Amino acid sequence: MADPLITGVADETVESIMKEDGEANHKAVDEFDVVIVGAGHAGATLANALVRKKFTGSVLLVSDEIFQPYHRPPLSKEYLNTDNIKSRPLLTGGVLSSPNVTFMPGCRISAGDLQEGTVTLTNGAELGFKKLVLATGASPRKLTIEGADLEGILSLKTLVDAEKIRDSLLQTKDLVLVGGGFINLELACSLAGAGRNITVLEQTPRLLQRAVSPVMSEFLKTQAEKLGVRILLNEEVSRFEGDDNRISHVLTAAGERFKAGLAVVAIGSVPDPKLAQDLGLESSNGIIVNGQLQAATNVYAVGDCAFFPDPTTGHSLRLESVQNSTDQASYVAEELVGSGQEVYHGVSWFWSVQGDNRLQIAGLAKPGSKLVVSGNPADGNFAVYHYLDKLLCAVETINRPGEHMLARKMLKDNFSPTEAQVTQGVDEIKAALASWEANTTTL
Amino acid sequence: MINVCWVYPDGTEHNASVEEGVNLMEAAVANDIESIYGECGGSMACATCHVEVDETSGVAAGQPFAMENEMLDMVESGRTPTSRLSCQLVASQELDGIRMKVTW
Repeated sequence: MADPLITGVADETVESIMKEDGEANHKAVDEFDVVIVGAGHAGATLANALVRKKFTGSVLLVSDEIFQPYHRPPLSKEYLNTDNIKSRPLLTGGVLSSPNVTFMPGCRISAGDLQEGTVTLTNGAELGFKKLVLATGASPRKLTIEGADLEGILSLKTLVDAEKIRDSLLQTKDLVLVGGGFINLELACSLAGAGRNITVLEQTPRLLQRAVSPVMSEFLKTQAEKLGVRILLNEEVSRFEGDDNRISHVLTAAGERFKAGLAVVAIGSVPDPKLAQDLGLESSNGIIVNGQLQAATNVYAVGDCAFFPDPTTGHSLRLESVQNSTDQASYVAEELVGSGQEVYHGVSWFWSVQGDNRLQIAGLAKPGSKLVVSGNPADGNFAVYHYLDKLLCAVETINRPGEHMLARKMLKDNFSPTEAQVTQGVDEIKAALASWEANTTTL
Repeated sequence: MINVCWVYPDGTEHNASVEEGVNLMEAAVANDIESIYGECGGSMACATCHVEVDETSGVAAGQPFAMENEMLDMVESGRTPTSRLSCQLVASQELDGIRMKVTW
């Protein structure tokens, strides 16, 4: 059976499209019912969902990478410190064998006429679409300081990035991780030991400032330090020094100088602002979409690149998470097969593995929320409940996956346990939820 | 390779040969088994790969791991005595002939 996902197929696809082009150069040379641009978690999930929903139209899945779509979260975790470097595929067997789905690796969208329903790709292919879904993700934010172009200064988003980091690890034991966010903390904990000197430099007064509570920031810092990772806060990186065009030191504004054979810069991600501009789409912090995730007629944006309205707050936001990508892709798949739906409303959840600790977050932490802690961080097993105006808005858990699932359910149902119930433990919360559900059903 | 069977609520059986060492969530995704998504890639974060092992096949469900056990208590389709997260079941000779009920 032919595997449509081997790399060479893309060229053949383009060639066959070109052949059909003939004289009519300005007309779309081939038309797909759905063109999905981007094959990360959002794009791949959409292709999977369309096949699962028995969508009979033609689908083109375009990727700017040369690989079949794969799970990204392991790249900052077990992928780096195990010999088993097999990546985990995202596409289902049904997509791989479907004659309706074409995979086109190694290219991006370069232009488009959304009124006409055409896009041009960087490999020269001009395509017509009935529906276009932008799942173009976000790229690591770069530092624009002296020495930032030296070899050995890397970021981590793709399999290629992870391979570069793996290669560098063979040459150096001195790692400086710029930015104290999820990627670098996961990296630090995965790579700690083995005689490595790992330093995390964070610009703000605490780790993961915008994502988690101060209690959680402190816990994760202590845990990473136990593994031998050095974490320095309030440190702004001012310059990279090199030796023979390769990084040798990282310098801070405060005048500190850290030896480094590898620096990983992970200070957030940004969607490509040019893409929206080129396509004539409105953008802010991402491509602006409505409640149905539409950026324009017949055009959707999903996942890390989408700036979408949150029905609970009325404000728009952009989220970078597997859950957001997966849920938005599933929503659009449903739209494309034609079933009418309410506006998109996802319950956000997220996970991170740092050493032996599993952090899970349900909902979104908001500034000014009241925090209630259940359990003791010193035991490595606790939860932090976030309340805004007495309503539950987020729950962080460490090594409590059951409570995380419970939190997701409560957020979905708009149920807020009392502080007393929270401090009494998960059984009390479950009982309160069950009784609330029983009453709600009766009404 | 071992033989694996997923049984849908309507009783239809879906069989596959699975390479040893592959977890049964990945095997399900590769074989397009309905309602097995494995969103988290097997990190035990999503519980979208829940199965009930049918022990009449002679293959036992085995004991869930501590974290898995907590997740199973909260699966949407409801836990049964032989519930497992299939990302934690790795194909081996001992699991040859396993039958798993999929629920939705």
